Amino acid sequence: MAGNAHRIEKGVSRGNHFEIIVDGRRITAYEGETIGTAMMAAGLYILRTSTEKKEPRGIFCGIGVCQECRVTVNGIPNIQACKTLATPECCVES
Amino acid sequence: MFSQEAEVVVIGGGVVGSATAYFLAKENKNVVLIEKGHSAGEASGGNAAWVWSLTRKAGIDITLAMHSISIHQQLQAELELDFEYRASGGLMIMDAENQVPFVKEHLDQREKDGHPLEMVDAKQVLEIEPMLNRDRILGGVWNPVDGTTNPILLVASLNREAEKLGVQIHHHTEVKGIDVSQGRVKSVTTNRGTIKTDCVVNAAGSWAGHIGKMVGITVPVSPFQMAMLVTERIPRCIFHPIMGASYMVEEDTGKEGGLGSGLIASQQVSGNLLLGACWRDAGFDKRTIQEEIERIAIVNIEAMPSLKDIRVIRSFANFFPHTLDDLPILGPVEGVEGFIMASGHNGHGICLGPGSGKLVAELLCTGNTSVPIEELKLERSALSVE
Repeated sequence: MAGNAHRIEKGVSRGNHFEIIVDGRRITAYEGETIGTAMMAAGLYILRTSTEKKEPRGIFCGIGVCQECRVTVNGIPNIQACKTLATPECCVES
Repeated sequence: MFSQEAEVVVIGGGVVGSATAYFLAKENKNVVLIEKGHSAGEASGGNAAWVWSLTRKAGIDITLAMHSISIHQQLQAELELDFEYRASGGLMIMDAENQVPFVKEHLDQREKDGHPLEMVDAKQVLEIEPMLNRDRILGGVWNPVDGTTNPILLVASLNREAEKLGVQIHHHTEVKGIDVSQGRVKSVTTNRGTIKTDCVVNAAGSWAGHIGKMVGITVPVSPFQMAMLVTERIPRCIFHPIMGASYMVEEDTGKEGGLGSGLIASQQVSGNLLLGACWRDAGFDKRTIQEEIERIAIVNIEAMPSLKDIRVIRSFANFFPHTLDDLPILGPVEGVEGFIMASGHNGHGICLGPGSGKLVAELLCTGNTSVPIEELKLERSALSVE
């Protein structure tokens, strides 16, 4: 996937921003953003690899159905990045 | 180009029709398989994924199941695409005193019939399945020949092999009519063309009655819904298919407009748990309702408390082709030469389907079957609604 996702800058008001930790790296997230959104805005598209063929997987449906965007959050596996809100200092393993 | 002619037209692309087509093709029959939807698109693709004989009754019921289990083993050895069949053994658990006499009676009958089952105590049950709630277990029944499979892959594997042997498979193709003249099948008309044939196999499952009408017969098969949950993939924690013995207690919950429920739990090779089940008479509606989802979760968490932290990713329901005596309808039909029934597997289709396909193929190729199927004919008294 060609990665050029970015936050819309004009005409949008955002709440507070904070940091989350993805695979040891600190990235910025805003209140109301999902983990998947914050990761895409930081250029992180590969959320996991497929079980058998180890192919990259990312946000696909974006609405909690396809199960492709599963990550581990604060040690809990199989969390859907597309519909789980980022919280300050939450620790994501992709 | 659409098929013009066939020695046998099989209607229904589920496990029964797919097995029938495969075994006919192995005997060099020229076969066309017609399916209105996609491969394993109905009951064959939405079920507990078990190869299960523990609760099959003495007599023809268990005879068919044991025969079909031997066919599962044969298919596992000869089909190229692996379909995740695991003959792990199966477990039934008792958690209420009222279940015990029904279970004992079943074991007596099976023993007399030469298909004994093993009663196990609570301690053994917990050794077999350590995740079960130890406070609730009274005992159980163990059956070493049972197991789980992946029915969608099984059908895909049968279809792939059948196509190699020359079977023409037409998915998304609907049968519109069957021409019968002078009491003989002449052709099958679909929305894509007409196929000349003198033999049709009705493996349409819950739709067997629709197909029957086309040749002027009544096929007493009706849809009966079962709903299940699918969880996230987790490390192996359920090692065998587990059924609650409440299924053995004779009551008609769900059949009189109510909602029945009982424990069904197993884990696929992928790691997903398949948890059930609720059942109800919902006609051809396969939507799940909130109450079903909640009931299934409660039943399973009561049996295995640590499931409370496991996430459900999907629910699904399907309907099984129900017959009044819980047995399939297999074999020729009086008055319509060339019309063969292979439907009505009552939620046992994954276990029984490969065997039924084999028996129908034997019937059409040799006139005989390795398991006598006379008592499964459409005309049997147990199916008459009067």
